[in-house]
Amino acid sequence: MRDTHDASAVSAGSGPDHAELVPGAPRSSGAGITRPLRVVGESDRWFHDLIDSLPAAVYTTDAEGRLTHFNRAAVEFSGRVPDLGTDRWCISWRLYYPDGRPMAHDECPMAIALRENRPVRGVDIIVERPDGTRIWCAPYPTPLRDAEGQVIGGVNMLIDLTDRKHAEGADNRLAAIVQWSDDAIISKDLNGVITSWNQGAEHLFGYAADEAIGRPVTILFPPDRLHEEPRILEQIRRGQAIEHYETVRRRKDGTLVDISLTVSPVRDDLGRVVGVSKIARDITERKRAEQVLRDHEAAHRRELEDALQSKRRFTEIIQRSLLPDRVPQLEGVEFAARYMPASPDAAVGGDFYDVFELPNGQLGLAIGDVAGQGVQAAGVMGQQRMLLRAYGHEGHPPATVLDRLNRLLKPGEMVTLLYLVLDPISGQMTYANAGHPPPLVVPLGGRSSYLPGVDPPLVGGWYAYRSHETVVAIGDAVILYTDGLVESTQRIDAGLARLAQVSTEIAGSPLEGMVDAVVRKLIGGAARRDDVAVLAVRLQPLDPGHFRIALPTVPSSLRTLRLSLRRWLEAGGVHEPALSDIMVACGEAGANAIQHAYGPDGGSFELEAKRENDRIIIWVRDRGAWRFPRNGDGGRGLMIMERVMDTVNVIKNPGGTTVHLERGLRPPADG
Amino acid sequence: MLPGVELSNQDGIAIATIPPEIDLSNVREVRARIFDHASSSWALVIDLSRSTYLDSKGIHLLMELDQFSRQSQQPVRLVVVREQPVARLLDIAGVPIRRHESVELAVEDVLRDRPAFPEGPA
Repeated sequence: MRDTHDASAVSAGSGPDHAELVPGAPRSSGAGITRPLRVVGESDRWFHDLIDSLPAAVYTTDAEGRLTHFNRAAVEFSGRVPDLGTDRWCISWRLYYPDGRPMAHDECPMAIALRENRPVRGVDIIVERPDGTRIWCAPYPTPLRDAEGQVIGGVNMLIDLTDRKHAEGADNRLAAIVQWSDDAIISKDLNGVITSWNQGAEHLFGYAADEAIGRPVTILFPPDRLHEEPRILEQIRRGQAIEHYETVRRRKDGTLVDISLTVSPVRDDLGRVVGVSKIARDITERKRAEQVLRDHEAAHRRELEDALQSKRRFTEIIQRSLLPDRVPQLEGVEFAARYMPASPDAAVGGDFYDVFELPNGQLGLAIGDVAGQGVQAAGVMGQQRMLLRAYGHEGHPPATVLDRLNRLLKPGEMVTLLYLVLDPISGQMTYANAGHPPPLVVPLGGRSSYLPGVDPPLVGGWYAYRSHETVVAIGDAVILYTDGLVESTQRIDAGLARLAQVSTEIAGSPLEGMVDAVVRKLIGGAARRDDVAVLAVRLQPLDPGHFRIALPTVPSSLRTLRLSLRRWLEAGGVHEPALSDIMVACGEAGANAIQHAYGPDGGSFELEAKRENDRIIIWVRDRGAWRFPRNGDGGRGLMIMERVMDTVNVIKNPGGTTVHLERGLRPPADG
Repeated sequence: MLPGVELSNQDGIAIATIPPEIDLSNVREVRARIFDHASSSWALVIDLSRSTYLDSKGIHLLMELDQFSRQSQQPVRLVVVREQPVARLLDIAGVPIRRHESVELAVEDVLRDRPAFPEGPA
């Protein structure tokens, strides 16, 4: 005999029936379902009534895992009515591990708890309902034991974590945006001690995160600005934010930088102010532009710019400040970028481009055009660029990145966007195109051609964008551009034909010159009603005899160093184990330079390498004076270098330190 | 920033999949997360099979985990494939942790050595 049950009876009830908590009280049929495998005593009934009253999904089994009882919440949770006495281990339809692999029911935490006679905690599972929806949950399986400690059954409670996981996802996304922002984002406690430090802060102020965290924020203050800090802290303690406060700060190398500060209080769950978050933006460029504007006004006092003009100029400055201020420096990869605002009588548009290195060593390149003009378009563009970086860095393929950007657009906004991921070693290129003019490939010999595959522009909502793949050879240039380049002075089809023709004629020339020539021949000095942005990239042939790279002394430089060095070594036919040995030794020398090279301009180090027959000779130079440090690796860095290289010399000069390394490529002769 | 460590759990054994590259920029976070994960289980498997680059900071972390294993009596195993360049570095640096060619083999090995009355988390 089995209790039967239908879901409608269950959902008809609302909330636990408290009367059922009374031991021995009559039970309503909808509250919980029991198949007594042995005589149900008063204590069992009390136990079942207790379970039925709980708002969380709870069920019990016998020692073999067969279901003996479940509550109403369990039916709602699993989206099905479990089969008493037949279903084993779990009430769910299907189970998965958190990484998405299917989990057999007899591998589930409840099964482990019963087999091993121990409670299982801290293992998350994903439950799938018959309708396909999935719930991320934490199970609490616990064996029930008799007086001798033998397992007589088990009880399990499933707690829905889906909302918490979503919240964690949002936190991670926010963290990624903070980490990859070009703005310096810093937090400090109420005593002014720095507690977090993002990549933008590393670039703006020159301190690595581990140099800045734990130190007073006043290390950034020039002496004549020290009085600002107490005032800022006082205002924050009162819970007030400070917006766009323009001031001056000092970099690690002593130079001053104009910044705009936004400072806001950080509160705990109770609303108490516990810290301070600061966003600093480098406004040196803007200050310079303002100076130009002032000079201009002085010289042409009679023709003072009207309000519209200065507004346009201001928007242009915002727009420029949103473009990347640097492109990645990678040995063997050549970049050129141009941004030309529309003619003075036109309003500013929303063209943008971006270049960044992805965590896997590939390069992300993007170019886009926001519909509309003025400050609002510039704002949408800044947001799109930030999200693109965040999603790009998470490693999503181009089509997925476009899907996500599309979902986050507001009604009425429209963006054309091309996102392209290039592997600098293999030349493999993946791209997706949302309504943007097609990228142009300019091969070393042969005719330029446009890459196919255009989907609709981003307009908000859902669209399944497509990724396309191709391979570019060393020496091929890839040109991305906005429609202003091909449409300003002619019809778009004529412009595209002209761009292909012009670029084919100058295919082999250096990239900077090629971009200049293309711009000159397509738009010349003509008045434009639209902005023009051009971004070009080319994989360069490497000189197998010589390699050199200079990098800032920040931890993220190590990866750039490895990528470009590996590319050079592989191009020169260097194999394992020499390849990895050289990579490790150079990595150690680079890490030392980053951690210990100080000096008036200790902001960079360089690595130079030469190939002489079957030897690789390397110099890693910085401007610091350090001994081989023991911190962080227990003194293993030097030991490892000495074991993997034939020669290791640390040469100290008044001007800095050079690590000289040599490694033969032939296996040592026997004996 | 380089990707971080991936954590999972199998039969109460903490499994830490090391990201392909470990250097100055991510070792501290990887270290913190592994120790945190290890503290809630009775054994630890460190999967280096995706590892393409490890520097002295990474070697130092493995040495610390070896020490932790001795002090806490928690078995620790490494997963590394013999052909991986990282395996050579482990030899050079003298990392004494027992190695296996796959997570499955490492887990089997740990389970064989399991104490007779395992302590389940209460």
